[in-house]
Amino acid sequence: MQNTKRSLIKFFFLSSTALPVFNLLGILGSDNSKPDKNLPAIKQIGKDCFLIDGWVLTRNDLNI
Amino acid sequence: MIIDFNQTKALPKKNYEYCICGAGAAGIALALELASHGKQVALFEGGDTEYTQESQSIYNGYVIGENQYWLDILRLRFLGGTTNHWAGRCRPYTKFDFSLKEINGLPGWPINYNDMAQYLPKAIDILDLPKVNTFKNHETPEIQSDRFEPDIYAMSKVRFKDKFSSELKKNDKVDLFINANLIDIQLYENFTAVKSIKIANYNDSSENVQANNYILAMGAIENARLLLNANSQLPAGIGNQSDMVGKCFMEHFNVRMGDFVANSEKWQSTNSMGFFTTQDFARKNQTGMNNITFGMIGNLKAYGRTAELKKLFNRLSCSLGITDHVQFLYSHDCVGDGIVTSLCEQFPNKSSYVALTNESDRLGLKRIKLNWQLSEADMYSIRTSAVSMAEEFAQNNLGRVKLSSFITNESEKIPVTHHAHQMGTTRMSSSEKDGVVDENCKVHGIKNLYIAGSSVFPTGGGGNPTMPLLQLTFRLAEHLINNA
Repeated sequence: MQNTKRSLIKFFFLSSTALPVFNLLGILGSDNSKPDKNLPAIKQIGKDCFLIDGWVLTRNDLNI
Repeated sequence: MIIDFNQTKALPKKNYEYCICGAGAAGIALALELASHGKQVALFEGGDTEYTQESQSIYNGYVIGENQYWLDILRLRFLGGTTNHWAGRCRPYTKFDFSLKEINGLPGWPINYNDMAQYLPKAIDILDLPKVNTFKNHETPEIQSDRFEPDIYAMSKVRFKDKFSSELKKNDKVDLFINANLIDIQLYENFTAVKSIKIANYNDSSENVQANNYILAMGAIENARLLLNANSQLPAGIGNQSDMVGKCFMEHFNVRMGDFVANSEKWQSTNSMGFFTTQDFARKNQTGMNNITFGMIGNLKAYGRTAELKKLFNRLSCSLGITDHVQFLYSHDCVGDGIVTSLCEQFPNKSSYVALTNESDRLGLKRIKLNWQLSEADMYSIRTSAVSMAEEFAQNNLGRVKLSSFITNESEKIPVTHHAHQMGTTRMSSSEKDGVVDENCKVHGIKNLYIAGSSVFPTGGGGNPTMPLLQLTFRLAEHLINNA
């Protein structure tokens, strides 16, 4: 799951708008020292797509 | 010739072949098409040549149920009708629209794609659209997908009042009466044909008018309203033997499906992308035909008397990064946000309807109440399309979508708004048990009463209704010229 966090951070900070920063806080929690149990559930919704807290992300985004 | 019934003591007595009630897109197109074949037409418009509150207030009614609607402002009641403020977007129906056999226990179109498609050139012509390469993809890149494709459409700038006023004035085959409201329909004793219609002005005068054939072209809500109000001989109203008049009110759902972050590399030359469900996707997944648009917010938008206050609040919220947390105070977006909106087909269902209230307007017509309802099939269609499009958006690396919670949580209500596309209240059907008009737009059981406009659509499709309703209007004109 640490990989997942890193991938999400990479994706959102590479994005060009201000919007993801705040959603990032919402998804990951502002305190990175919190245990992984605080992460929202990941649900596979397509062959290569996953749903995390409403975000539809690819397998590459999540590095899985 | 244009005659103001408010200024005239008596209507001229002529042997009209056709009486058309409603001078919007359908009514004007039909009148001029019939006139071009030498037919004598009376065209009655309830409003004036310009907006008047006196006329517009006839549209007031009540909305029941949980989905809001604005009966008094989404339609315009004067010459040219709602084309006086329409956006002009045109998209042709697809073969898939005519292939739907049954949904919610109701049949689809009883005519096929080619029955409509042959009248597309006439509709394109009257809307002043380019004759070749009419429908284009605007700004949206091609994507690798068998589920969605870039949307294609054309934009018309035609306002029927502006385009046709002078022609209506000088056309000696068309008498256009303004401030002339249809308030009743009288049948012969056997109830199988219209004997006359009653037309009223705003000065408490009314007259009966006779013709060989009568056509209602007053818009989806008013067509049903008049048939239900015409109940002096048939208590349920005219054409309502199967209790279908007013049933199956349809719109196109405008659903805020979510937000997105853009991949800036793919968004350098555009701030909007629109995609449409492929026919294969709709067929395989039993969804409607849905348009999903991704738009970047370029400017703050705020309306009303508190607009400046809202803008200040908006700027503070966005700059402080607290937008998500203060939406409960004032729903807003920030510049740079991407929002996902849609125009989704609504399937017909009898629970979505217009009916009469006990309150009368100044002309004595009962006002209507609207209950706009989604069916389970609609909700499934919206959710399935939203999730699939979000997948395609990510896989094509256009950005990433955060879906609204009601998309992924089926226990939440889907908040819908309108596209001002009223359809379906006098639906076309082969059998009178499933609708109000037959394949030729003739009211079941009444041999000289027809309906023009989107109220006859048995399904809504995913395209804006004006162009297809004009196709149907030209088809009706041909039928009338050859058969009636």
